[in-house]
Amino acid sequence: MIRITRVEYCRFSLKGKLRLLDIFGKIVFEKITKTEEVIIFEISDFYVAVTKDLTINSVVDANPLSSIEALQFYLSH
Amino acid sequence: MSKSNSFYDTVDQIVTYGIEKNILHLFTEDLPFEGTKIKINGKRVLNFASCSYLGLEFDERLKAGAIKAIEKYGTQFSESRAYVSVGSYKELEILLEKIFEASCVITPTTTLGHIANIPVLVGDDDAVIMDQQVHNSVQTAVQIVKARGVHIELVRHNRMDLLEERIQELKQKHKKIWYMADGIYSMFGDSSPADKIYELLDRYPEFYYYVDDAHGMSIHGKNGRGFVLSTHKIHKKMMLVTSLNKAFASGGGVMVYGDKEWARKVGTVGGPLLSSGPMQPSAIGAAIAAAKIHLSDEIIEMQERLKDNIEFTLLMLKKYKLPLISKAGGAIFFVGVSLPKLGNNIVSRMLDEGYYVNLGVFPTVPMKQTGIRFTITRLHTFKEIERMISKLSEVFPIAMEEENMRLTDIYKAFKIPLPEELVLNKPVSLDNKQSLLRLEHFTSIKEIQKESWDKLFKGNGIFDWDGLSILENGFSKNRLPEDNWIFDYYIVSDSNQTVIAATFFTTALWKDDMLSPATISEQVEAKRKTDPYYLTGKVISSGSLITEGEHLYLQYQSSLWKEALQLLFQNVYSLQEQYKADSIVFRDFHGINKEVDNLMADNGFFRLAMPDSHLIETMPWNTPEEFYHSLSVKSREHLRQKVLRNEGEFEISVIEGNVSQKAVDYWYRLYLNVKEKSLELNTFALPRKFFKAISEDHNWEVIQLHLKGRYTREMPCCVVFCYKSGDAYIPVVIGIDYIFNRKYGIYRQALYQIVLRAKQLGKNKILFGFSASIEKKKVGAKVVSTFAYLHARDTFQLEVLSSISKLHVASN
Repeated sequence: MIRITRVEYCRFSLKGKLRLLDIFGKIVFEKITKTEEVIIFEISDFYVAVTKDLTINSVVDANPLSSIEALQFYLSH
Repeated sequence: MSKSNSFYDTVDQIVTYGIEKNILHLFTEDLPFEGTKIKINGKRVLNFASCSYLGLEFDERLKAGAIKAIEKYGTQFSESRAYVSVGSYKELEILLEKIFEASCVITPTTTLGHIANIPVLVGDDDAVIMDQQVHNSVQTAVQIVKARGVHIELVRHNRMDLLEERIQELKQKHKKIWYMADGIYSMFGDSSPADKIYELLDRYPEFYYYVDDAHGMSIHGKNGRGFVLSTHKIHKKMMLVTSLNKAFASGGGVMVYGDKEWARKVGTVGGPLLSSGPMQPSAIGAAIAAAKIHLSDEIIEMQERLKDNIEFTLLMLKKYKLPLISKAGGAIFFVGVSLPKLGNNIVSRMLDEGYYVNLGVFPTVPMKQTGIRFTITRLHTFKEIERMISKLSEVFPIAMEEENMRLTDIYKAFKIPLPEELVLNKPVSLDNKQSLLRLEHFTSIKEIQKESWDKLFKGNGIFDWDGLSILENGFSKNRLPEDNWIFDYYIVSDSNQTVIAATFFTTALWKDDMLSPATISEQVEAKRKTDPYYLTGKVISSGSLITEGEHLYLQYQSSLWKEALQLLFQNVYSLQEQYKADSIVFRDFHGINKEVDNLMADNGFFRLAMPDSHLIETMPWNTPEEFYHSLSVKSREHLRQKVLRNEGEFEISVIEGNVSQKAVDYWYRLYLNVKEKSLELNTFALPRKFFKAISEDHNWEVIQLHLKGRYTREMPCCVVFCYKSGDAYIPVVIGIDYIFNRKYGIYRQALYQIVLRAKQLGKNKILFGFSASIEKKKVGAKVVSTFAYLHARDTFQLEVLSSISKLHVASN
């Protein structure tokens, strides 16, 4: 387990964030649409949404979710 | 022995000890490297000491570049660049100029770069201010201009306020003021405050900036141009030297100029560019390949990966609560351990566990700021970093327990507050063996039984019970701060009441140049005429400024002597905090005991050579004639020609008590005559009150030498203040009227009269003390090599002295 704050997490590059999530993240949710795949990770005491653009087959974003409402949004849509 | 020799002896002591512990001067074994893994001491270990931060040394393009260059130009093109260079040199220079967007010149190493630059760029009317921690290669090159008389000084690390003050003062007298610093510092890994320095460059036309950014290269900035240039363009009054040996993974140094004319001039007349060999073609070939990577977008990705590793390292250090000493400006990290013994222990354990980290130890850092220095490269994985740091945190408390240290000591040594969450950190328990010992602390000799103290120290010097009583009186309630000493006495005994260790400490104001060569003290004394306390500091010393001899009693037969000494260390460290003393000195060890030497080094004390001491150990003769025949042929001739021939010119008397103030005043004047000439052991003059006190004490006596017919009875030409302790006779202070010294050999006569007086009193030995070796040997004294061990809280003052010392060396 790692203790990391959102601010510390955001200091990493996109690839660095993915390396962190690979080792310390826990997948809580995964959703695939036609054009993108979203995976929600839990790391330390916050959640991160990793977005993969399927049209170019690469991860474009791995930012922390701003609130629990944002997590609920992903879970309910 | 000179201060400079002593410095190299000290470094030799520390490094040799590390070699013996199998953690320094290591070699990798003859196997191909696998990324971050190397084989040392028969074991494959993860390397956390490489300065090749981007891991480019394994890049196929660099390897191919080197191979191609060798195939084309051979292993070396051995001609001075002043005549002809291989064409690829030009190609590399053009690529580097694109990276830095400034004029560049290449040298085979950064050290040679500094040697090429500094003598050319720094004029005789300029002044140089070096940051206290600027890389040694810069300091070495500065010695060349120092020999030309250029004004050089040091400023405390990264203190921009002090730097500005110095600029304001120096600009009145000097044309240019060069500030020399590193971009990223090679030991503590912190960075130079570049923004503030650029502000000063704009504010003061006389201010120039010379920076070594070797550890910032590649990992920071556009095209990897380094830490300093990552946020600023090169300034027209700035000169940057950086390395192609580290993250550039090839070889050589590159000098980047704010002024194109500087590049032309150094390229034309810079010493190593005129006469030294060039870079090897293979290094140029690899550097060209590395430069092309730096000029591509690929460098951004490499820098990002390394920066992620750096961020991750910081997270892990926080997670495992390790004492990181400074904010890392690059990929160097320094975990403080304070004393060398803990550093040695941890580095050795880490190696056993499969991780190679560096020991950051004196002289690259102050003695009590030893640390575990490690580096991170792009090639490390997060898992490797976490495993190493978690292992470090695992061995850290084990080693602390073994070395009997506490976390609070470490934070204190680095002058940083203990993090709140660690305040309740449980202090380690005392070593089991130490619990068998009892330490007693006294603040006056009067609290100690005379008999028990004298049993340990009678006959060793003027620090038997009576002698110390006089010293306590003489050095208290005086007007000047240097004349007031604090006394602390320690006795460590075992469960049988046997004394295992004992000593006394005095805390007093010392001149920092006390043990420096006289030529250095002359320069410092010139400054003290206007600033009497320049380069002085509070020192806790075993013994005192007036006592000589072995002040530390150690019962080596006991199996507990090392633990007893450790107990003394712990207590004297506390005294250092209490009295806010700059240094601790254990004085007057006659010869080197290897075990004591290692124990001292482990506890942050480095060895210094003191002036030789002199003693006559036995006096198996009864008459002056027999004494004469006991000497060597040469000494007999000396005695006959230089002493006995003049003996009839002198009237000798011994004064014991009942002395007028007038006589004491005259004697004091004679003493000051000698004091002024005695810069070899440069101390403050003793207070007049002390002379009055010893002239009235029955353990002291004064040998007076009168030149017949030259002076009145009240005006001796020489006085020697001698102490009687057990079977020893101890001449402590001498005063001379030098007018007739040469003609009548007054000093020699005094030495001879001391010998006769000692015999007359039935003494068996004479403790002659320091200095005048040749003269003392001629009256039969044996020379004893004497050492001290110094523990300095901060080495700044020593570095200032060392810089004066180097000037002395260079100008000779």
